[in-house]
Amino acid sequence: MSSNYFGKALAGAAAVLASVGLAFSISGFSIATADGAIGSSATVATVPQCVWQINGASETIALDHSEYVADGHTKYVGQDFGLSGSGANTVKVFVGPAAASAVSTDADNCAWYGVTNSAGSGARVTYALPSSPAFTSAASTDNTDNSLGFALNGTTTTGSNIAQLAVALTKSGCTNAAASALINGWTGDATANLKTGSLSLTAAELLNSTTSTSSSCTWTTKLTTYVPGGKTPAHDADTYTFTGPTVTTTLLAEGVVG
Amino acid sequence: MSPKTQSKKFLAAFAVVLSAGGLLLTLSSSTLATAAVDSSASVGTVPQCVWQLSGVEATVTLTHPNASNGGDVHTSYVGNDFRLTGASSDQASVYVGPAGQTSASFTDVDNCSFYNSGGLGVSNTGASAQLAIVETATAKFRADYSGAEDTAMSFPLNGTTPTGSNQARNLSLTITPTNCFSSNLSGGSGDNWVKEAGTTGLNSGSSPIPLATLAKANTTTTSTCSFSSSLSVYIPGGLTPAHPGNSYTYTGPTLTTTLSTNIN
Repeated sequence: MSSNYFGKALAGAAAVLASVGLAFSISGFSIATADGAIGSSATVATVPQCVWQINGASETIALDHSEYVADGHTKYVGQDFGLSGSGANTVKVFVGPAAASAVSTDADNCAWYGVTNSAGSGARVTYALPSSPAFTSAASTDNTDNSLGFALNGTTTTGSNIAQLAVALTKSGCTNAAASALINGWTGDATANLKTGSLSLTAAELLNSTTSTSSSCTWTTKLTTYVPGGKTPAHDADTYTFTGPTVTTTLLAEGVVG
Repeated sequence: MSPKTQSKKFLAAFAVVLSAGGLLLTLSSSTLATAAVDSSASVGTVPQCVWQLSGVEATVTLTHPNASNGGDVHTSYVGNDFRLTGASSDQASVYVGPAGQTSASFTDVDNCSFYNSGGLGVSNTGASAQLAIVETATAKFRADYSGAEDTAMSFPLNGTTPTGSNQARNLSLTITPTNCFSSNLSGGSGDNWVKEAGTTGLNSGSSPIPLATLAKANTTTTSTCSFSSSLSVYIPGGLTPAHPGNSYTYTGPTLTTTLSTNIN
């Protein structure tokens, strides 16, 4: 029993010491210490790097005469023969993560990082023809027959049209920031007549000062040209396939500042 | 944690950093991208227009009309002027169309094109059809009996009136133009043809007869002109057959129709 009393007394003293120690610790006295350390940790996600992207720009646009049926001719008869066609693709140039397929309305879908999370460059999309643009022809019975081929050299056709490739862009959703109110700082041509001596157009441009993490502009492309009159097919009554010059679409996302 | 486990975790972390670094490099180098917009079209062409002639190959059978039709009461040659007449069963036509087409189109202005003609679909040439008698120096009607010529009954077409006859020795050609249009569409319009009409006496001294001419400025892809023709001739009176009481076969001269397309 005596040993039990002693044990109980020690336990009580320990409890008192603990209480006192706690009291000292709370009151901040340095003479009170405890064995242990307070650490900290956190998990922080980062958003992807923003990049300028373009998609939908590669396509083959089929041209036909349907817009010009009022001329009364369904086939080439030696007069100017209008051809036009709109691309099936919607061209999208936008800011987003590398894998994104379209602009996001989430301002934090990506970041430019740096001190101000601002883009170092805006973007410029250009269309350009080769130096000697031309449509080539091929008869269905002779694919070497270029008798109806024609250069896009700016000359006046027999039907008083111009030998050129007219490009018309129908734009939509062009905004500095899809994640906020619509402000359209995009510039660029809506139409242009491409030919020798005038081989390119600026389809869209946004300077870095107005670029956000959700900048975007989209458009569809329409092409128009005329098979000039006065040509004689080497294989009359045949059907000819025309192949136009490649219009190279270029996205430049460096040095577009201002 | 064993040293081996710690080493694996370090490698895994390093791999993630390398991947992220590679991704960043890819993204930061995406400052230039190109794509290609190509275009193509399929366009039919119409056949080349050409001037053509049809209905000019015929053998005209001549018969003796009765009195009410310009003949006389005789049904056989009796030594008097004996008229023979006949009409071609074919309508001769000169027209524009694709090669091989048998007539000008009534409905399709684009049935063909002259193409390299200034782009206006207008011909770079007009056309003229002429009719001429062949063998002008010796043109005649030859009389045959039983496969052999009876020169006493043959007669030259020399335009003269022989003794015993009241008719000049000509082959009378009567031309009747029909359906002559610059454009054959919708029933035809714009008759700018210069046409021969009426009766002309053909003989060995005759010049070709211009049947119909259309200037290139008036030529379209459906221009056409047709004409019917009839012939008449008199077997001169005063001839004596070597084989009287028998039938003779007469063969007249050949008439040719020529199409010229080098017409302004």
